[in-house]
Amino acid sequence: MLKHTKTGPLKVALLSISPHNRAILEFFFAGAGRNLFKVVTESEADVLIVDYDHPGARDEWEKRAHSGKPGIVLSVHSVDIPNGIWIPKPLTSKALTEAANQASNMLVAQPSVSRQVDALASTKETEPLPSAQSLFGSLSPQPFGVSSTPSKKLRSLVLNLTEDEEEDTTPATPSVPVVETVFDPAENDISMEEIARPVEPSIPPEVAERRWRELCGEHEDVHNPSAWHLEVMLFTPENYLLTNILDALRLTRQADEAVQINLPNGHFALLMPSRCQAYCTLDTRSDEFSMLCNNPVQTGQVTLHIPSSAELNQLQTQAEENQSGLQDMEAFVWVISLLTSRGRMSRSIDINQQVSLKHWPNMTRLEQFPHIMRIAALWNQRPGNAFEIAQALDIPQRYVFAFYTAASTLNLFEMDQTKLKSREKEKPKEESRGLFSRLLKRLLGGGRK
Amino acid sequence: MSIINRKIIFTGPVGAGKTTAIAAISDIKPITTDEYASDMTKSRKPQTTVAMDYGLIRLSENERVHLYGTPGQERFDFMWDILTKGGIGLILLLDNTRKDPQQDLRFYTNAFRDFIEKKQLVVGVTRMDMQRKPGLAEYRQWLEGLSLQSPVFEIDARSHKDVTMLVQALLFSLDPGVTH
Repeated sequence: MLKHTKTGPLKVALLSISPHNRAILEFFFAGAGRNLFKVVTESEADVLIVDYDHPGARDEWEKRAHSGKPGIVLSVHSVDIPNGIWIPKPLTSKALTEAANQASNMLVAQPSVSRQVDALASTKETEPLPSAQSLFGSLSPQPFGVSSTPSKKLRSLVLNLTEDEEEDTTPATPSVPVVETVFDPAENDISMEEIARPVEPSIPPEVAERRWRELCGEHEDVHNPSAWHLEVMLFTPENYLLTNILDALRLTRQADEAVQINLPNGHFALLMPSRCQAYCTLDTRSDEFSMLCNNPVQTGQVTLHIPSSAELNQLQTQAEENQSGLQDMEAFVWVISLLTSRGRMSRSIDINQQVSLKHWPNMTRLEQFPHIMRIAALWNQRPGNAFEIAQALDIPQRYVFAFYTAASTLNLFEMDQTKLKSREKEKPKEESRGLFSRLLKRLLGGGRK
Repeated sequence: MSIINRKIIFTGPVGAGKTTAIAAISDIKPITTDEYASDMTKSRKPQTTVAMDYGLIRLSENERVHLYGTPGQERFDFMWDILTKGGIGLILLLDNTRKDPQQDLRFYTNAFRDFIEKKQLVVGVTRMDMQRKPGLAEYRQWLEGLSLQSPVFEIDARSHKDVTMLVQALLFSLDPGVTH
C-alpha cells in the first residue's frame, strides 16, 4: 500500500472527469492509493482534481481558481497553470503518487505555491522508476491509464521487472509489477485493418436437410399421445446396434482397454479410451452405416472383442493411416444414437420425467441438427421433459427427442429429482436479445458487415 | 447517435489460443498492443511489454462487439476486473498440453468468479489433437466441482466455426430464446 507519511491522505474532490478516467481514479483510490488520497466533498477538499480534456472542465477550474486550492490536472497535453499539477494521460500510479507529494508540498507552502510543469517533465525523464515495492508496498492492485482522446499511436503495458526482484522483500506471493499503461482500443478512434475473410464452402441446403432427416426423422409433433402415437415415437434400444455400442463403452471404461466391435460384412469399430477416440471402417455418413444403425440387429451379428497388444498395435496403425475414420468417441456414440432414434425416444426412459442437462455435449465435434444449441441451453437452464422443452422453444418435437436420446446415451442429463431444483438458473433477461440475434446472424453468415 | 459497445472477453494461459481465436472471428486484423509501444516506453529499460489482444465485430454503424484477450500472465489478474466492464461473457481457453489444465481452470474461474456469476462462461479446450487426455469428461467434472454449469468444447482456435460455436453457446446460455 502506498503511504503518505507527511499529512495523511490528501483530501480531494473530483470535478469534471470523463467516466473512464474517473473509474481509473476510483480504482486507484480504493486500492493502492487509499493512503494517499481521500475523496471528500468540494467544500472539505484541500485539492481539486479535474480532467482538462473533458468538456467544460476548463471553465469549471477557472471558476474555482480564486479558492486557492491546488489542482491536479489530467490531460493528454502539457498544462501549465498557476497552482496546478499536470498529470499526463494515460494515468499511472507513479504520476498520481508524485502528484500527491507535490500537492502536499504546495499546501505546506501556500499561498505562494507554484509548480512548473516543465520541471516536472524534465525530472520525469531522468528519475529512475521506483520499484514496485517502494510504490506499492505489497500486493495491492495497480491502476492503469487509458488514453481518452483519439490517438494514432497505441501505448502498451510496461512492466519494470528487475527492480521488483531486487527490492521486493516482503511479499510471499509473486510480486506485482508496475503497470504503466493499458491502451483500450475500444475507446480510441484508431484505424484498423479489415480482414477479408474467405467464404467457407457450406453444405447445400438439400444435402443438410437430408442428413437431418436421417438423424432426427420426419415425425410430426404429437400432443396428448395415444397408445398408437407412443408406438411411433418410442423405440426399443435393445434391438439395435446402439446397445452393443453401449456395452462396448461400458467395457472399455471398466477395463480401461480398447474394445473392438465386429460389425457385419467384415467392418469393425474400435473404441480407444486412452485417446477418447473411436475408429470405424464404415463411414458414419454412409447409407450402409445408417441402415446398420436403424435396422434391428440379429443375435451374433455384432460381437465385442478386447484385442491383444499385438492386435491393438495393428488396429491402431490402421486407424492412423485412415484418419477420416477416426473421431471423438462421444461423437461416434452420438451419431449412432441419432441414427438409431431418428427423432424417437427410448422406451426405457420415462418420457414425462423432468430432467435437466448436467453437461453440454461437445458441440464442435459432433453432428449438428437444427436448434441443437437452443435445446442444450434451455435444458441446461431449467428442468423439463422433452415435450415442455419443444413447446417452450416452439420447435418441432423430433429435434428435442433426438437430442434427449443422444445426450441420455452419453449420460449428460441430471436424472436425480432431488438435484433438479438446485440446478435451475435464473430466467434470462431479454434485454440483449436483439443484439445477440444480430451477432449470431453475423457470425453464422447472415448479417451485414 | 450513440454507439452501443459490448465486449466478449477471451482469457486463458499463454499459448492457449486467445489471439488466434479472436483473429478467427474479428472483422479487423487483431491488434496486439505491444506492437504499438511508443518510443518513450520502449526507451525505458529494463522492462517487459505485455500484450493485450483486441478485435472487433461491427454489427452496424452504431453497434460493436469488442473482443478482448487478456494478457496471459497470471500477475495481471487485477486488471481483468476492469476489462470485463460492459462484458457479455467470458470465453476461457485452456491448452490441453499444459502441465496442469485443472489448475488453470481453477485459477481463471476463480479470477473471474464475480463476472462469471453475473454473466456466463464457456470453455474451449485447445490442442486436444496433440494431447487427448484429460478428456472433456474430466473438464466437466472439474467444472462441476467448482459449481459451474458451463459448456466445454474441444476447439481449434484457428477455426471460425469452432470459435463461433463458443460464442453461440455463450449467447444461447445467456438467452435460449435468441433466434437468428
